[in-house]
Amino acid sequence: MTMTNWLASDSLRPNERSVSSEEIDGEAILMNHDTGMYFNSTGSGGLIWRAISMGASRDQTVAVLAAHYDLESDAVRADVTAFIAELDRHGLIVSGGAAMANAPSLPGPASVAYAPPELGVHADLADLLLLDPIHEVAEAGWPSPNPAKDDERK
Amino acid sequence: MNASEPGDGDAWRGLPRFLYPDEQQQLLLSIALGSSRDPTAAFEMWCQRTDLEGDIEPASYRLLPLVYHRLRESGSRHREMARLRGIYQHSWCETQLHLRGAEVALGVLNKAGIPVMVSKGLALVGRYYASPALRPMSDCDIYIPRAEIEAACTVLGKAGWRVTDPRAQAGTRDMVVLFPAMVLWHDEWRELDLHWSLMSGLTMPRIIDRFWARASPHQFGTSRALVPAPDDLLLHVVAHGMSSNILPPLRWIVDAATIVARHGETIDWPALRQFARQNWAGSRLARGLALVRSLCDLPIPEYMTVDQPHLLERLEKRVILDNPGGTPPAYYPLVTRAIMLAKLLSDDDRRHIPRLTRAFFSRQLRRVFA
Repeated sequence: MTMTNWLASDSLRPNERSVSSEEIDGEAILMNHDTGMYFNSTGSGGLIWRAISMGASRDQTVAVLAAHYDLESDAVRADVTAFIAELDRHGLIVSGGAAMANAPSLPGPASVAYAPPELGVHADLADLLLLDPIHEVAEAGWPSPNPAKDDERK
Repeated sequence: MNASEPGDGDAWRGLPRFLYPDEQQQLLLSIALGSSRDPTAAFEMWCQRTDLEGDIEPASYRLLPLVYHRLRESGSRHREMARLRGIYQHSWCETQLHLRGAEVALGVLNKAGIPVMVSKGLALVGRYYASPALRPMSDCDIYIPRAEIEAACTVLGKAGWRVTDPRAQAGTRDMVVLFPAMVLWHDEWRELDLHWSLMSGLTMPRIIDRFWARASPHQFGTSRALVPAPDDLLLHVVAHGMSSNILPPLRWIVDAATIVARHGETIDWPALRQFARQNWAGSRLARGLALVRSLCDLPIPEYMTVDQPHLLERLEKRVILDNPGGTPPAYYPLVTRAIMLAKLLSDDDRRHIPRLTRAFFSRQLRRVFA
């Protein structure tokens, strides 16, 4: 997988040719059909994905996230940059062409404190689907396996 | 009629359990259909009566993503929300894989210039449900004209789909008359059901011909397919759902309710009823719509629920719809063959009867002298 040198003002968008996604309660779930990998975001990752789905650039994403959590842009810039690099590394985003004139608007202000975005990466979807979402998962639910059941699964 | 809670709608009580939902399933259905006044309380009641650590029967399990969706909409904080959310995500992934497999198969058929139509799950998931997670699928049903079966198998074979259906051993000519579809398998995209007629029991070409004539184009990612008109889709969903099953099927009830909720005001109900009756699906349609109507408040005219079976349907009804137990009677295979023969006689396919009869007796003789 190659990394792209995005300009901070480049518009981004999901790689719709290969990627399916959905947002559930602020969490983004994504599937890359080319690589067979599954991803789920935690923290503020869902909001970042939503901004990218609207065609926001990295700078615009930083701005809307900072506004949403009532923080200075510098407080979230490194996290957003790293998260976008991670999305790019897994082929989940592409250049969206010309940047949007205005940053997209997100619902706000946030009712919860800011949490850095993280991307859960699940390399083998076929294996993951064998994980029983009722009996073999941790309290957080699928796709988090219950370590106590690992031996039974193997 | 507003049957909000399970048990309000008694129109179908006393009928066979392998076709109709039991009380536990009604609880889930009331949540999934959005007709429960208190979905969290209904779900809690379901949890208390269900061993979540044991095996949940598959029909109920497949409703859980929709149950989660309804609970989430209602702001529920039920203790099982995390587990339900995981089931929802799992369903999302599985359905995405089916959709991608269908897109690939449709693309292969598009490229070969073979007309293609989708129905049931594939026709419903992207157009009637808010998320693929809400309409789990176990396979993909794709419909092609009879004349294109061999061409379709050839191009799909080159793309990795293998014919695994033992019925295909009968030879294409016999298979297309006797069966509605065959199963193909792809190591990556899994099962594909390639149909040339609507479904078992409704194999008459005139039925699928109507579906083709009234279908409209739809885009599936980079591929294209026709989807049946809403009333045809409703007939298919109900007739398929009202087929005897090892477990009471539930998914179709939500599908049918979803179609009626969207198109109920514009469906030409008398025409639908007439077409179903003419094709020996009137009884299934009437009973199915009666069940849907008893479970949620939808614009289904009452006369659509009046069961006036055609002569042949009376036989089918006696053996299948009114059978009080899960085990079919000993005469079931004989009756189903007689029904199949009667349907052949009613259609253009009657010209195949002499050849099929010769083939049948030839097989019997080979068995005797083997």
